[in-house]
Amino acid sequence: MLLKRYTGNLLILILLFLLLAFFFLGDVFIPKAIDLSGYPLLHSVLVVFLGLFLESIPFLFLGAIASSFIQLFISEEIIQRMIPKSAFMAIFAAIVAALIIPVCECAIIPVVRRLIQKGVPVHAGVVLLVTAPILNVIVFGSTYYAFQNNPAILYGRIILCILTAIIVGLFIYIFSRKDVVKEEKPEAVRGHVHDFPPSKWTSFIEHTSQEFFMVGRYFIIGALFASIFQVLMDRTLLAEIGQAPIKGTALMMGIAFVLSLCSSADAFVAASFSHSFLPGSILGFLVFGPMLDLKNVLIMLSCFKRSFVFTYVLLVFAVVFSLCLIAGGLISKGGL
Amino acid sequence: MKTYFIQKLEGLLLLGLGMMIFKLYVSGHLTNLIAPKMVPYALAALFAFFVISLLRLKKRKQGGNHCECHSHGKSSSPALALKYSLFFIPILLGFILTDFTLSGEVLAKRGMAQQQSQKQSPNDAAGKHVNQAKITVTDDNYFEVLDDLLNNLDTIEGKEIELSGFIYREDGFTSKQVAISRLSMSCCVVDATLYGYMVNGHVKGMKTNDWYTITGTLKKGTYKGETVPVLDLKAAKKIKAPKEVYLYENVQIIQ
Repeated sequence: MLLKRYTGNLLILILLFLLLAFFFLGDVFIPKAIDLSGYPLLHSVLVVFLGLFLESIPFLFLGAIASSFIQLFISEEIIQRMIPKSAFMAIFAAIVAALIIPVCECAIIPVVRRLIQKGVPVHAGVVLLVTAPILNVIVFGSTYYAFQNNPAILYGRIILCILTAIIVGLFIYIFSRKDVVKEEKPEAVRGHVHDFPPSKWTSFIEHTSQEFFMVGRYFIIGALFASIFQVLMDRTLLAEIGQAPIKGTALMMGIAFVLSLCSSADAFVAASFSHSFLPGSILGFLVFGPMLDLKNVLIMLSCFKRSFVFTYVLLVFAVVFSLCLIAGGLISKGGL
Repeated sequence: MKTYFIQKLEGLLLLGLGMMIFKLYVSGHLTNLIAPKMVPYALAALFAFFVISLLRLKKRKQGGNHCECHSHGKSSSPALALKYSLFFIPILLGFILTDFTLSGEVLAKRGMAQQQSQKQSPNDAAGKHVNQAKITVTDDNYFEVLDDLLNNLDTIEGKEIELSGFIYREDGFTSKQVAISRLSMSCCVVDATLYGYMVNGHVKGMKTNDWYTITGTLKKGTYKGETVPVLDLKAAKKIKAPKEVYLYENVQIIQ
């Protein structure tokens, strides 16, 4: 046992030494040894990946902190008292909560999982998942700014988001299943079953760190795929399909899914598409993207059961798709 | 033993992540990857990573042995090592990379953003750039000028303009056409968008992706069917790429 711990410590020390070596010298020696300038696409994939990682990591960490906080400091009784009894009221409460909570998609998923574990009904949790990334002031601001001459997009985004939440929430409520949360592996729960329980503060640190690494590794895989699509996808070719409402909407939703943009930035990218696509398709991009994208689905897989994630993806896609087609029709007729 | 090792490993990885952000921040590369408005969040994360990594790396006085009973979980050591080793990818990338620009081929796949003329309130200072004798475009007024020009397309004919940017070409361009372009970022490099003015003239000698300061006269032209301001080249001077490659889009929520 002692020997094992000794090797463990030795390994950590070696890793620490390597880390320090790369920290000080990595940019001196490695670029000479491996010249990436001959592979511009690979280089760009790596740069985009690092950008995506750095942008999201503070919020992933925030999500881990919030989730651990709920786990350790908020009891099930408090949550039971806060949740309205009727299903409708729970959905509306969740929408209001989403408006107030200033977090977007990376942070909300572990929090929702924890809330469901603590007794929040699944449909209310799902509503939170759908609305939290879109219903916040920063997203409103950037959408308004990017589509100043087309306010229908801003209103449409908000209205469609709320409608999607209500429909998806009700659907989940009717066909509700209780066990949607993925079982935690033993290594993730060890913190609080001790004979001599450590202080709450210690377990808080432990939980946060474990949660972060569990969600983080899925996020890294998602971000890698997203950056490959980011770099390889030829956006100029897409314009040709843009004017067909059905194909265009499906395509824009697909693009939003693979690009995995942050919901406070996607409006600018959407604006660059706005000449080649119809308003309904742009709405598809702006409503679907924040709810579901590559990195998101992978984070969800780290928190929820596979069957639930699958149902959720199909459901959200179908609802957003039909709503966008309706909204597109209304906008082109001059409504909204 | 495994629990103990994982605890240390998590501490080490958090330390690495913090060091990676620190290195990028100190070397000034951080704003090539994320917009300045996101930097405070990254720094907060850096602080949090350091604190938690120290707490994780610290030797625990008690508890180490009690944890043993739960450490014989489902996942085996190699699987666990693989899961954690994923985190070395971003850490090492942050340590190793020195060039954070997107390649020209990638930009060509994104295409140039087609700015729409924005509706402006009447009491806005609209048109203040257009009325100057010579328009000088800087990083700070880039979007203001672009908006102004798009709003006053009919009156800009013949006006002189000076701006810097890199040369960008698309497949459809003739040998006498380039675009003088800038990249703009609102959150991070993922949403980098290309803005630019079409330039007509003797541009054959100008290499794609090289930086130039261009003087030209404005006129109305088209790009992909949209009416846009176009430049007739008067003079071009090759310059070094600036330190701040990106323009940052400032969203004013309250207007």
